[in-house]
Amino acid sequence: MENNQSTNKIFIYLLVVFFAFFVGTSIFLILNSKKQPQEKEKVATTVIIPTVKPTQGSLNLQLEKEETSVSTDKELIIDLVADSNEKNIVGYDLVLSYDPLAFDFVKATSDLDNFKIYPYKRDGYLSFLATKTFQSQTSSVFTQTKIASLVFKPIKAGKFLFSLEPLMGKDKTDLVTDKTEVLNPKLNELEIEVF
Amino acid sequence: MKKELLKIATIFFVTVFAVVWALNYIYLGPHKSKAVGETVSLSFSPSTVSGTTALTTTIKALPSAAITLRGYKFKINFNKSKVQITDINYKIGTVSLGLGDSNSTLPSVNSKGFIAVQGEIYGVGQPLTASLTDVVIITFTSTTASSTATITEGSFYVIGADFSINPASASAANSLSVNGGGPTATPTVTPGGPTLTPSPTVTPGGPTLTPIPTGSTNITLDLKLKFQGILKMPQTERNKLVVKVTVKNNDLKQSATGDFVTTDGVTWHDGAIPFTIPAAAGYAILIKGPYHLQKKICDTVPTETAGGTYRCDKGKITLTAGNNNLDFSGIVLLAGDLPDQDGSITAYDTSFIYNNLGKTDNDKCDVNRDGICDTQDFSLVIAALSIKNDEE
Repeated sequence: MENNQSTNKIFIYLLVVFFAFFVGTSIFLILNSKKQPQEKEKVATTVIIPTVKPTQGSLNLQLEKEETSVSTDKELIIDLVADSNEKNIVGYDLVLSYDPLAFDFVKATSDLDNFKIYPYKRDGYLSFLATKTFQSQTSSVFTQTKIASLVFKPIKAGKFLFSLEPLMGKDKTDLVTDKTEVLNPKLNELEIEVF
Repeated sequence: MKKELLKIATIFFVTVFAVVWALNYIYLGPHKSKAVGETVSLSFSPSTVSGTTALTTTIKALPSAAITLRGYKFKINFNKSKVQITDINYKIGTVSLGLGDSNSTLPSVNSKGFIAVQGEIYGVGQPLTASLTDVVIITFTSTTASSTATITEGSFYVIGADFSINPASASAANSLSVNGGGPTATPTVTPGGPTLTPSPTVTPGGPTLTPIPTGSTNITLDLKLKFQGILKMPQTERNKLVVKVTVKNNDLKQSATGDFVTTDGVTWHDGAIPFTIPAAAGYAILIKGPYHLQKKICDTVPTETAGGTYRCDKGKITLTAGNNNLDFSGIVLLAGDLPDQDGSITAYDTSFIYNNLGKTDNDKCDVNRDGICDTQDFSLVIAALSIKNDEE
C-alpha cells in the first residue's frame, strides 16, 4: 500500500515537472515573440551612415615607360591619369607624398593645353593646384586622360613609394566640375625602385 | 496534505524558473551577439597635467566586455582661450575623412574649442579586450591658468557576431585637469540621446563662460587695412567686409570679428574691435578677410616693396589699455580663399570664379568689390597663388 503511494507521489512530481517545463517554455516563447519586433525596430533606427566620403572618378599615378625601376642618372617621369566620371572639370587639387631625401622634385607640366598647374613643395609632400584657362571654351571630361607629368630626379638607391593622398595639412586632392561640385576621386600609389 | 501541496508548488515554480532561465541563456545569452548591451568607458590618462608646452594626454577606452570595433566618435571639449591643440594622433583605425578632426584641421579645432574625434576601422574591425586601450593621443599647449577638458557625445560602433553593426553606449569616466583645473561633472552619454551641453569651466573666483587671461584689460583695435585688388569705392551694398582679427602672444590667442568699410575705396577701417587681453608687448596680429588668405603682421606699421610680400616671424606689436590705432595699410592682404573658407586657395576657389564669370548677383566671388565676378577677380586669385595657404 505504502509502495503504491510512493509510486503515485513520484508520478505526481514528474507530472508537475513536465507541466512546469511546458509552462516555462511557453513563457520563454511568449516573452521572446514580444521582444522580436522591438529588436527589429532598434536595428532599423541604429543604421550607421557611412563615414567615408564617396569617391567619384579617379586620379592615378602611372609610369611613363611602365618600368618600376630607374637609375640615379635618369629622370623619373610620373604621369597623372584622370577619370572625371563623365563630368566637365575646370580645376583640380593634388597632394602627392614622396620621400624628399630620395627624390628631388624637378617640375610639373600640364598635358592639357587649357590647364595650368601650380606646384608647391611642402614638408614631405607636394601640393598642386591646376586651373582651366579662361581662353578655353572646350569641355574637359577626363576618361583615363593623361592630364599632367611630374618629373623627379632620383638621389639614392632603394625602394620608395609615391602616394596620392586625399588630405595633408591644408592641402587636398579633388576634382572640381563646371558646376563647382567637388569630386573626391579614387587614388593610387606607386612603388619605384632606384638602382 | 498541505505540506505536500507546498512541495509540489515549489517544484513547479523552481522548474519554470530554471527552464525560462536556461532557454534565455541558450538562445539570447552571450552567444547571440557580443555587441548588444556593451558599454565603453572613456578616460583621460593622465587625468592631471601641468605645464605650458608639449602636454600630452591619452584617451583610453575600456569596454565592459570584449568587442570588435568598427568605428567611434566623441567630442573633447577644452577651453580654447587657455588650451591650444598641437597634435591629434589616432591610435585605433584612421580618422574619418571630412568628419573627424585631425592635424589638418587644427586651426578649426583651436577656434571651435573642441575636437571631434571620429575614427573608423576598415574590413573586419578591431578586436578590443575588456582592458584599457589607447584611442587617441592629444598633445597641446596651455597657458598657466587652470582649465578642464571633458569628453561628451560618445558612440562606439561594434560588430556583432551576426556581422550587424550596433552602437555601444559610451561614458566619460573622468575629466582632464590642466594646471589644477577644478573637477567638472562627468556626463554620461548614450548614442542617439540628447546632446549634452558641456559644463562651464570652474575657475577660482567664480564660474565664467568666457575665460579671461590673467592681468587682462579692455583693449580695442582700430585697424586700417588694404585689400588686394580693391582700388575704387564699392557700391554701398558691397561696402562692408567682415574681417576676423586674431591677437597672438606666445600661448595667448584671442579672436574677434569686425565690419570694415572704406571711405576712399582703398583703405578699410573698423571703429574698434574689442579684446580682453593683457596690455603688453610682443603681439602679432592675424588678419583674415572674407575672400582672403590670413596674414600675420608683427609690426605696428608694416611695409613691403611689392604687394603681398610682407612676412614676419615674432610679434613686435605693443598693445596698451584702451584704444590702439594700427595702420596696416602699408601692406596688401592677398585674396583667394573664397567663402566657405578653408584656409587655402584651392581649385574650388578658382573654379567658383570660373563658373560664375560675368555674374553680378554672386557676392561670393566679387573679390575686388566692383559688382561683378570677372577675369579681374580670377587674376587676383591666381596672383595670390604664390602664397596659397593662411599664415599662422
